Amino acid sequence: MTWPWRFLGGGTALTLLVGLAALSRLPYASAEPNGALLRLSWRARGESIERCRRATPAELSGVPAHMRQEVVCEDTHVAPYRLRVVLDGRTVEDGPVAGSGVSGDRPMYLLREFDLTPGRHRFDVRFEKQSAQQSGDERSKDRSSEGEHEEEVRRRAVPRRLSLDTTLVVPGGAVVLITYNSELRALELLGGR
Amino acid sequence: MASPSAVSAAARPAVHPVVGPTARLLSRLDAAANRLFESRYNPLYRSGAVTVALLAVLLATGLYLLLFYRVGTPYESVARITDQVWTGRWIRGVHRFAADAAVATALVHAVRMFAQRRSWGRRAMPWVTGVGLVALVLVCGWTGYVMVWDVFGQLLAVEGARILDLLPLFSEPLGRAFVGEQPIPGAFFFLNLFLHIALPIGMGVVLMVHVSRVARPVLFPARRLVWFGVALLVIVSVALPVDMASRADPFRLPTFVPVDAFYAFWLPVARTLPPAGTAAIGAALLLALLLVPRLTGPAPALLRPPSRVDHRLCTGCEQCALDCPYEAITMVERTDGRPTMLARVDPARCVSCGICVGSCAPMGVGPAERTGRDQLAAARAFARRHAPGASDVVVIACTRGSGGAARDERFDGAPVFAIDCAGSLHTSVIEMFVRDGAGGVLVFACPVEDCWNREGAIWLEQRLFHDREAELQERVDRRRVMLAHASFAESGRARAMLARFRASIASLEHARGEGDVDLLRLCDEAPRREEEDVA
Repeated sequence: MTWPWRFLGGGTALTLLVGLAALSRLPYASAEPNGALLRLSWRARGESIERCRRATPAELSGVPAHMRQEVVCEDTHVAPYRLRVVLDGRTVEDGPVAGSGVSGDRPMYLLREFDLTPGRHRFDVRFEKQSAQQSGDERSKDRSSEGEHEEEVRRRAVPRRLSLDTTLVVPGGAVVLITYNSELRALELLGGR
Repeated sequence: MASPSAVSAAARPAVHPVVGPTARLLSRLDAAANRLFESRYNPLYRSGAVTVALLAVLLATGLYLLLFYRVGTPYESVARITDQVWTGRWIRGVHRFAADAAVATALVHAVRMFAQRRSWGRRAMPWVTGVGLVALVLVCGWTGYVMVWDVFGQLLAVEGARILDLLPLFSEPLGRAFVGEQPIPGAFFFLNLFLHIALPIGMGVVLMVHVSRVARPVLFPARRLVWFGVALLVIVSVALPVDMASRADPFRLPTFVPVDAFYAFWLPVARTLPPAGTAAIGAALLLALLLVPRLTGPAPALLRPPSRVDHRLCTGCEQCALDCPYEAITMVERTDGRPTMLARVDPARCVSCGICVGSCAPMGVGPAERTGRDQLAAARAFARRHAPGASDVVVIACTRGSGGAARDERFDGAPVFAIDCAGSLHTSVIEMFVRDGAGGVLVFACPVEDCWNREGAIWLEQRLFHDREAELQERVDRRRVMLAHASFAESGRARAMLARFRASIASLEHARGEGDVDLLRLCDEAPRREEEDVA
């Protein structure tokens, strides 16, 4: 193999590698140059709902005395909430939010994103417990609320109604985050700078 | 035994509508790369080994970077590494470009195996594990970019989390971790680092499985090629240093993010479609790749049969077991009272390459209708049909390479005896042509590094010129035998070699045929002689 071919081979390999380095840092337009974003994200423990009934005498007699419970509660799930987002007077989201997990008995997780244009915006966000007709044998109750932890559990649960109605000037490229502050037990707005 | 004239013609394979054009394109690239780098340093031929070498580079540079990486301050620690002008900056560059090159060479390797029809049948397992290896490399790269925690890492994390959240694995959606509601816990970066280290270990295990069906796997390319590649990586890393992108910020939308196309090629799809759509496309693509052996391979009934051993002829010399590139032949005790061992072919491992045909002096092993005896019968019929004279050259050409010489009945006027793989050529065929009166025999094989059956070209050369078992007999005039290597597209080079050989034949005395040479009889006598010797 002659030297000119060697140089050509080396040059070709170098060119390929430079091309590879260029592909390694391609500029990708990940967002509109003049865009902004409203993001709603929170985790909330809702009120538990369980279906209870009186155990039949046959059921009670079938278990040892120390395990007998007169009221049997099952089908526990978190009470559904409704999320309503009104952006500049226009409703962009209006739907139920259920507890997570297969049985719907886990906390509610929420993550929604809405594109914005830079400028002044009015955000009206409401997160409210849906009023459901409870049958006689259904009751709103957190199982662990029985006993000494009742107050603590109630404190940790999300209020029946949360709302945030505010106006903000959002600069280009900003992300406005609305989240639930469990200490303040209220929705709060972060970012947007 | 196959009809004598059938073997040579049947060696020319039918052209597959997808595989054929891919192979032709690859062959042209091979020819160009051979001119630029020589065939022994042609990185296309050793794409698999080059990928492994790049993974080794990643391992070495990764160990250095690991010394300075901090899970508590990911971005700052990578920035500190990048600020090390004499070490960290270019080492990080080498790490990154080697990761990109590994994806590129792995893809070349996959295309190569597909085009060379080495991705189905009994070779399906290496294909499937190869797809798994590429997937692991991509996931490992994903964790590597997330480690930096710049805007690109954040983008990968967010989009990846959106897809992962489809799986019922996490009690809380992963995506919420990156919204800025709370600082990202150090445990996340620790877990990410753990994955970045654990995945290469997994890759090593899968790589072992990947090459478990081949004998003497070539895991590293020629040393000179390795150092050449490392030097190029260093040069590019110094000349085009990898800078730090902006720090990840959940409250800012970066307009332009510098992304690595090799690891983020899926981002445009992921940001256009809902996560379920992206996941569905990814799963479909993965499934299609895994099913390539089934979708593009021949029907099981058309797969070539594995080799068989003729117990009567096997002398127990072990050469076929030594030569088999797929460790498909083992030696076992005989049950017929003869004191020698007996070769046994494992049909689950045999790819029907026929290398054992060339390794068995008494022609006792090989796939049905492609044994040494079939070759010899076909060669005899070929000689009768073409009657090569004292000044003629007979070309024996491998259908996969040989400058495309095996495409037609004649190559530059010389009659062509086509064969599946030059490594499966029994030396008796050459002997028969020479003793039959041909002026010379030119055997065209694929380049040594690109034998479709891995070691055929190496074993053939040793049988012809270095007395490897089943060697070309001493009585054959070596001046009348030439072995040349050329890829399929190197037609001009093959013609030049033929012309040179013709000129050298012309300078020799006139070849004289010996009349009807019965080499089969000589071969049949071999096991009998061996038995007599033992007695």
